[in-house]
Amino acid sequence: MPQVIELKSVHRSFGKKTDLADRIATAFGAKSTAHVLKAVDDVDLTIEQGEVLGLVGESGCGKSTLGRLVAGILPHDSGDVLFNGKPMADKTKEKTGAGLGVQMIFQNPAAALDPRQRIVDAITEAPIAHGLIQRSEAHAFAIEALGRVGLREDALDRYPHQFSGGQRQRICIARALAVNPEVVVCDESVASLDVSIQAQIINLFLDLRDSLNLSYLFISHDISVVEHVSDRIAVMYLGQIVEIASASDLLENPLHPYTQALLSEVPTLDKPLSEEHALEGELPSPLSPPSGCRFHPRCPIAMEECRSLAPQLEPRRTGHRVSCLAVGKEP
Amino acid sequence: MNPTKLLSIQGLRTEFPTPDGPLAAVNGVNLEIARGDVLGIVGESGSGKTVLGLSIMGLVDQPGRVTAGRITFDGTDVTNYSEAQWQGLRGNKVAMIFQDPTTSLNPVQRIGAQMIEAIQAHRDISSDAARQIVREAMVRVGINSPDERLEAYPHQFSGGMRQRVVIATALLNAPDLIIADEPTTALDVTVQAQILRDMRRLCRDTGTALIWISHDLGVVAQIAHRVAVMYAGRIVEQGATEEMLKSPSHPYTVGLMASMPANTPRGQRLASIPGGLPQLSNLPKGCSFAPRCTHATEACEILPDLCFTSANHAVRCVSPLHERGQHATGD
Repeated sequence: MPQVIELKSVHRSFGKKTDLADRIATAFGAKSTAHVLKAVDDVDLTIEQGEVLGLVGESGCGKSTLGRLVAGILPHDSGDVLFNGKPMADKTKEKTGAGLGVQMIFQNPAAALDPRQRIVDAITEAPIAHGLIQRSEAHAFAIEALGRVGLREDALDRYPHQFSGGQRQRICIARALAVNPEVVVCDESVASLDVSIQAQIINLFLDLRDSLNLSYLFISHDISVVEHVSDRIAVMYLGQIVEIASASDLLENPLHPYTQALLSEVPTLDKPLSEEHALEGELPSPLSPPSGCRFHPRCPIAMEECRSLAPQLEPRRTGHRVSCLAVGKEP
Repeated sequence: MNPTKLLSIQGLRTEFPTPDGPLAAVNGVNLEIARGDVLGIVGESGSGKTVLGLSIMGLVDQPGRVTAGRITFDGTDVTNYSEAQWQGLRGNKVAMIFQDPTTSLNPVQRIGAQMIEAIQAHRDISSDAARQIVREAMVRVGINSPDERLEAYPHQFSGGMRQRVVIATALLNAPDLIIADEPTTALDVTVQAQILRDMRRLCRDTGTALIWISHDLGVVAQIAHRVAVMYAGRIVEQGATEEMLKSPSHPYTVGLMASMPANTPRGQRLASIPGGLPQLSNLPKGCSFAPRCTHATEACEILPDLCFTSANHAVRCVSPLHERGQHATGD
């Protein structure tokens, strides 16, 4: 399978750059005060054509930033983000036609749609601006685009507030697909929907993948949703991917202690939560991540060297990579 | 009056006036809860579960009001309590925990001062004695070194810690009943599991009754002894947690469980409930769920009562699925 998306040691930090005042203060012996948050720290990742790659992690782990880097709406600091083998166009700088191949669908469809824009305009604005269709074709194009997501023609002249949450998310999906993307980044795209509506949208994502051969980066905090839609799943912790494997392998045989804890804490209908906490505490501040393995302060099997030695993401089985010193020690 | 019943609700109806006529967010709800009982209330957005919680607390905002029914708390009819009378009860005998801990805490007051105020509002007690109660409550919800934490402001806490503070505050006056409205929805799954365990243990240790309101059946299954499922302002199914989850009988409950991704093999289409919630100001005649129900018949044009199908299980459906044997539970 050809790789549509390839990330090679990608970094992205946020924070204050040192300005003149800082440099003067440092020159006079003050401690450097620059805060840098490494949201994405040395990430390698591939998405194959037609594949759904799930991305899970707690809030603050950098999964949304990674999604934005893949979608090309946020520039990366270093490393390579390749789309079909070529560097991703910087959508923040280049103009027409740039980076249409990757589109993004956000969590809150109410915020993602312009409240004063009719649905027909929301869907056809981008394809017209990028010269994919003529203005005269817009009406017929919008009808087809809405049909693809299960909405009827009478939606065309209405405004976002006239739709329910689930319908609005369908409109966002239709809008993202209007420029014929090959990859869709879904960032918590079903999180704000009720469970019965969420099921409808998940079905729609799966149907569209089959009919349009789309690839997805499916980001969610909800492991049961990711588990359901994904071919492979990557687990992120404090800016780094700690484990990546096929969905079935990861769920049935998680190797990283963080993945194991995360999976055991998902409330389900059939098994009660254990009495003991699987994981103590909360995600440490990404502004000052722990030394060595970033998970070691919360890790139940941490060893002495985990404090100083940072593990690498290494293959343990076919298609199953883990970043943990303790796992490597096993025979 | 049965002395073991702590809270008893009869025919509760809470209405909001709208241009289209009164809208009954809570539409004839009967509930009973005993000391030490944990009742889960499950429903999608708009089902009336939050307004039910607010009604029990006397917190329904104008122009909404309780128009019918009776709320009896600990043998006293509190339905027509004045605001002053409610204030004597709230935070004292009955406490409430909301979804977003940030909005429950005063951002410009130290945590300790807020919590001490909550005690002194109801009891004539010295600040030192109150501080001791606060310390104990904080330790009970897993906040270590409470003395330092008492001097901190809410923004210095993480989301999970803030919710612990809110829970500790609810416990201060040893309430007989806690109503928790989506208390873990804004939290990460690992933190959610910690709070679920803490609450489960607290209720067991203190005998406090708990009403846990959530959209997530998986979460409710972890904590509740009994579950009530709400749809369009009415309870449509109610029963002992285990029995109800094993043999759900209302088509809505069955549909809700079937749309959970965890209950469907990976990659398969999820069973979704067609359509959306009916307009509360214009409810269909008879069973509110009938327009979305695949089993609906003419008999559904008359509103069925909530009828017991076994000692611990009641369903509001003219032909409950489980009785007909249409829903096998996988074995």
